[in-house]
Amino acid sequence: MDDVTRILSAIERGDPQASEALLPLVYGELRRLARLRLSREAPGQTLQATALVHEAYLRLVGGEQAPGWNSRGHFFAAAAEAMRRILVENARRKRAEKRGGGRERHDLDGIEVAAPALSDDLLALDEALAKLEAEEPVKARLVKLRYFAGLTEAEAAKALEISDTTAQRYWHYAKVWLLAELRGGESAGEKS
Amino acid sequence: MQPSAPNIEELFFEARALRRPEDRSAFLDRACPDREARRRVEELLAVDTEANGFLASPASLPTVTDAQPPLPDIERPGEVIGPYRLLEAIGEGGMGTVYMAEQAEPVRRKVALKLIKPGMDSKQVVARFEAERQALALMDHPNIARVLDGGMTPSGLPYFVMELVRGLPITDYCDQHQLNIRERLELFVLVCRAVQHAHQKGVIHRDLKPSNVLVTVIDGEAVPKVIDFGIAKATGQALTEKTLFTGFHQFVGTPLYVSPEQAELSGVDVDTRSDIYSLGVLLYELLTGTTPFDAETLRQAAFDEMRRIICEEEPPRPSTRLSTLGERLPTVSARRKADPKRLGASVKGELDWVVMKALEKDRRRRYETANDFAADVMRYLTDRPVEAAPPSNWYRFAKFVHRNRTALTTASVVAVALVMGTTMSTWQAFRAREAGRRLGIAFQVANERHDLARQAVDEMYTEVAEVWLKDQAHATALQKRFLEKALAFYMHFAREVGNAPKDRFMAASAYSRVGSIQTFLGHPREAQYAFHRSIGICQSLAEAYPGRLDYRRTLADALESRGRLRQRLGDTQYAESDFRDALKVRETLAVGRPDDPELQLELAATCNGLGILLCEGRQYGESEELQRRASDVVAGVFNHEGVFDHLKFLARYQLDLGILLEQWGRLTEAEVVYSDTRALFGELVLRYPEDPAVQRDFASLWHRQGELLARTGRAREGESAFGESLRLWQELVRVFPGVPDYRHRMAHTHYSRALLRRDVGRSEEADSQDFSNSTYIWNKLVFQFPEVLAYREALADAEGDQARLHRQMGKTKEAEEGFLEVLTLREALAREFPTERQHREKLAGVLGDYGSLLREQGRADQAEQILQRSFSLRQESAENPPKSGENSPGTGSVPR
Repeated sequence: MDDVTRILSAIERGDPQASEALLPLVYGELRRLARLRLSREAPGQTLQATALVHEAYLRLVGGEQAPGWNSRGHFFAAAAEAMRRILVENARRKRAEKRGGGRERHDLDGIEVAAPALSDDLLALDEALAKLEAEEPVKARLVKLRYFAGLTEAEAAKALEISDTTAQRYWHYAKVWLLAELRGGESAGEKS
Repeated sequence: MQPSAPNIEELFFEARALRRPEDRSAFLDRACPDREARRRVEELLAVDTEANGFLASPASLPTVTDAQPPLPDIERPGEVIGPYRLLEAIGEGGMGTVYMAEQAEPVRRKVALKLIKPGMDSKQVVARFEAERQALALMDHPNIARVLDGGMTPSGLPYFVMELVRGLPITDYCDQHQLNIRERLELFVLVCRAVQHAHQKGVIHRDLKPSNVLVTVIDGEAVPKVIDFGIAKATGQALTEKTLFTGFHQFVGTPLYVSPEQAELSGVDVDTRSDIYSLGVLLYELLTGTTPFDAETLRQAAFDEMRRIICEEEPPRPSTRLSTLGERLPTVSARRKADPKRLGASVKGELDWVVMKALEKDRRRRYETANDFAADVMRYLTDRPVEAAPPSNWYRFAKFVHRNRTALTTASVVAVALVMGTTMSTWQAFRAREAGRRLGIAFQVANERHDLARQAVDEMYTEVAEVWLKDQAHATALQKRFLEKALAFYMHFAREVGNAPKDRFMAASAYSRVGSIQTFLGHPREAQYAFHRSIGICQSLAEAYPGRLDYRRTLADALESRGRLRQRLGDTQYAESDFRDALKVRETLAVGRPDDPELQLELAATCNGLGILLCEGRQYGESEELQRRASDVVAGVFNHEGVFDHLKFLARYQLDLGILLEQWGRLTEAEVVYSDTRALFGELVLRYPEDPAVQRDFASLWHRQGELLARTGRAREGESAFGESLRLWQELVRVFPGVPDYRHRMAHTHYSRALLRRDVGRSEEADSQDFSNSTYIWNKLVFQFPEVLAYREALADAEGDQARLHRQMGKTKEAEEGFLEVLTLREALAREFPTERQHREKLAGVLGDYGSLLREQGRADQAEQILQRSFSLRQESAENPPKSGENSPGTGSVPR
């Protein structure tokens, strides 16, 4: 825990290497939490990414001393990125199971009732998001904060240091952009 | 990817702020720097409305189940339950554990004992099982594992005792033994038969899936055994009473094999057809290695979503699924001893249809019985057309060729001989005679072969070509090739004239066929000649042998065919005399054999044909008589026979009668006939939902009604009649994308509705919904079939009217573009048919419209030039008045 607060204050001070150190820490913690929670929950539930991220925040940074918004922003940015990776890994694994290892699990009696996000959809979204990031980095970060870390519009605006109206506009535009990308991928393949 | 142009975002938001589509597009016209930018902005706008729901809630992770709730400790190997001692656990399923057990009393034997998991009302389960017991006892089938007993353990768990089957789930068995598709299908047929047996005894399985169909090897032969009959019912009905969630979860087991009606959980409404569905899933999996719905997708879907998928989503066809297996395909193929490249092809088509029919959401559309399902699979296995899909002619042809490979090879040998200028059969016959007895056998063989070849070609022709010739206006390249081949045969058969009546009659029939083929291939002169020959031979045969029905019948056929051909060529007078001759022959035939429905129906058809011809020539009185007579004759047959098929003819003749009355101007009567006929069609479409001819005639009827209503000023009703017509055309076009005639007629109905809407001032709808649709369709048809005049004429008409409407609406730019298009079409038509007045006149009309549009725009010079041409064309027409009898509604006229 100390590590994370130390890193966060290093980031505050402008240490360029600090950001890089943050991600693996947050990632590790989130994975640990996810595994723990998933094993404890009854089958057929879903875990909100938001809940995990917030729990990780409380555990890593601590609720009491509540650092300034800047550090919070850095934390959530890292958490969003970490969460994205976890979800993508999960989806990839499922897809691999589905394609390759289907035989082992062919008895699907008692299939569980589960999450809305289909693994393929998530992977497609992630690809689109990578493209958006190349073009519009701020908007892509906004999407990650909101979708993977579950920040509200206002929280995300603060974390990115943009106004609420800009955040609103960016959010809408990013969604439309991603949708168009996903739709294009469905029908015509790559757009020129 | 479009490089990040900062203004795309701004353009998007500005355009988005404009609510009206016209404003938007005007804005984009103005503001977009280039087409690429505009396309991009439009792309974004297109998905704008969906954005709100998108990513609305943050991502989440699904939990995964692995652990099964542990069994209570009591029932373990060694335990004794009633007369059974548990030996070892041999299987684990959603419902519980299966043990091998030993029965001591009354006989010592090994059995399978299925112990149901805790969690349901055991007493109820046992009670339901008792209720079903008698039915279960009646089942006696080598492919069904007998259910022997059922009861409750001391600890209160229900159990079932069955014949012990040592085997693998059918899918695993097939994979392990690398059974090919045929072998799999053969096993599957046995499974269907077993299920049929159970159904006949009143037992529905309700939970068919691979793990309930085990394959054992008895005397070296694979024998499938269906297990667990009656158990799903005993355990499953808890569903309706218990909470759905755990209910589904626990009892129905896997949703992968569950029919839509079972997934609905209405519970009561499950019948034998639910088993048919599950069999369909099983077959799907046997063919492709995967279930129709992806296991993972269902696994991840929320409960309601899962139900929705099962009840609504159309799974990919097996062949499609195979093509998307990706890296798994080689494995799946190897397990089926198939080449990965060819596995999909072998499943595509019939097997696709068979499987998809079993998987219909609406159970009424599935196979009615497991036996029907098995029979269709057997048809596939024996190269006969399956019933699962309305078979295309090409499909039937391919089947035919496959089945008659030997005969056709013989036929090709004959063909080669023909090409060489000598006839193999006559040559061999000659040699045979010359060599006397020694070659007697060869002679016989040659003749037999010849007959065989003739028979093969005949059968092929009737099975395939006659259907083509009847239903299709234009031949594809492939059909042409086929017809040309058949033509060569028939020409040869026709020339091979012997003196025996049999030989002459064969020649006459061959000539008739040559005539039909030549007609179809667009060689009217050759066709007429062939019919002429056929008629000549038949006439002399019929005179010499008045007792021979078939001679006269072929004569009537040939006369009628020639009549229709002449009618199409505009040779009305001769056409009429052919029809009248045919009618006379038909009358004598019908009178002589009043009990033969075929002859009566043929008489009716000839009356109808002549009636239509006379109607075109405005001889309305006699035409009416004939149409009424056609209907009466059919009605007589119908009463006599009780065969429903004839109603189709009745409906068609009534429709033609209505058209006649309408053209005659007896509109009120026409309307009455139309609405009576509509009732008839209402019944027919229910009875023959798959018959395209019925749908086509029904669509035509609605179209005619629309026209009639439009003509009598009832625009709103007319519009809805056209709407009904369009609905039917759409369906036909969807099911038969290869039949251009349906598309043509659909375009025509759009066109008629466009005119109707235009005339009541609803220009916008007329333009965007109807004109655009009709010109779109005709454009494609013209592109596809440049040789068909009717399409080009129709396109020119519709585009011309649309351009005029655009002009009225003030869409000058579109109008001008439209006129230019039409001019191209009309110029070509006028050039190709210099003698046809109507083309010149219509060209003049378009030039006139275009000229005055230009004048309005102040482009006087251009306008004058064009108007001048229009004027001189008109003058030319006026100087050459139409010949009498030249009545050419021609343009855009709908085929009946």
